[in-house]
Amino acid sequence: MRRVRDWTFSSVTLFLLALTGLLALQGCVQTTQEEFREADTGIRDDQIIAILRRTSLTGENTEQAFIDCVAEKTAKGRDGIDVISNQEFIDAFYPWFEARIAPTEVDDLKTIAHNEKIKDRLESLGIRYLVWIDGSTSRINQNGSVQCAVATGGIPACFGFLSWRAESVYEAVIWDVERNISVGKLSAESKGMSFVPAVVIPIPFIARTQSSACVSLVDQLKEFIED
Amino acid sequence: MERLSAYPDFDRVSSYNIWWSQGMKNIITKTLSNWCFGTTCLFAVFILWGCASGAHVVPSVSIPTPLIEPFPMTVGIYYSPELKELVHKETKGRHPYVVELGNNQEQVFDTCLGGLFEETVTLESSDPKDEIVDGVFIPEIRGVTLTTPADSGQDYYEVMIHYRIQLNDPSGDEIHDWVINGYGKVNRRDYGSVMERTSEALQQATENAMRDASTQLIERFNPRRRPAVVSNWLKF
Repeated sequence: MRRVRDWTFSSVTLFLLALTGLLALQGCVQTTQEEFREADTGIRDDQIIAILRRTSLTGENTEQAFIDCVAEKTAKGRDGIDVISNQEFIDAFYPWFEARIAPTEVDDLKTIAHNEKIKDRLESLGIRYLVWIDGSTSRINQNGSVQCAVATGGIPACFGFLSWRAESVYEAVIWDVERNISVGKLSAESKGMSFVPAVVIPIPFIARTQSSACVSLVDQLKEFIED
Repeated sequence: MERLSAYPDFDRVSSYNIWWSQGMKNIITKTLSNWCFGTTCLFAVFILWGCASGAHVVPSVSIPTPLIEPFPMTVGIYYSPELKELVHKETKGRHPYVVELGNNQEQVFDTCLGGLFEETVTLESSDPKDEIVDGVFIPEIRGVTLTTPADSGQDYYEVMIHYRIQLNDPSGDEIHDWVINGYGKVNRRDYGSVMERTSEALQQATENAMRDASTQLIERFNPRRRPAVVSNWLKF
């Protein structure tokens, strides 16, 4: 009787531990941030900012998921700032902000801002700042492997150990459309270790570096603009 | 047991404990085994999904109205049947890749040339016949290059559409032709980290390539980039 009761107690404990472990299936993430201010900032209630993806035809391109995350989180909360998304913005100003011909320096913006049609649209939409996001998440030092097979009896099973380091490095360059100047630069860098041990069942411990970098960049951005 | 039987209440509680313990054990064992089986199956499916590939792409591009001042001219556009029905097919490894390009070309050129010129007319042939136009554009696709992450070892799905766009005067003589390589790429990480949505990724890359071709054509009419022969035709 005691054995049954002991077994039950240990099973429940084990189950609870497993459940806690499952809920906390995240690797460790370390985030650092930097800010470089070139001019003072501020935004009126009727003004908005554009969160734009810096695209390159040859190099790395920032993931759309990261741009969406920054845009969504910037607009949320009590300190939220109204945002026009990347797609809405580039559609509204087609073809001036397409990857091939988009301004790369603030001086290029001055040139195209002389165009009456562009000037009128910027004013009608109430766009005050352009926030250019650049960067990406990459996997480095990937080791090991997990292999799955169907064992006798038709039961699938996985074995192995897979691990990698993820690094998310993002930068936001902010241009003031009203004054046609660059007002500053923000950056967020998150590093973390992810691993998937598998003994019959694979259990992934994922370091959410991209999400952490997004939160960090958004916090900085809100503070920077409303300063 | 004898001692316990002297306390019937305690005995009942003990029986209840045994029943509860065994019940719990069964529930936990069943739940865990179901969960383990489910998770492992799911993981195996994910891995097998990664092995499957190939794509059938039906793009649905939407080019916005260009924010530019149009030239005060009327131009004709001739879409050949070959262009309108163009389907690009290729095999990579043993997997077929099919991109239906033709049905989007009118959207691309109607919008881009519609932004560049005050009026556009769709022609039935390269000869404008009774239509009064200042020139005729004849777009043509000369080839398509698809690159997947498996081909390049990079994180991108890339599509390049090789266009030749001919501009004729109303009598049919060629004024100029542009060779434009519309290029589009998307990051594979935006299309699923475990089960990659290849068709969806290639569709977006194809749409980006068409949009890029439209951008390039507009850019070629920039006074700094257009050839003298085109400036003369534009009378600007």
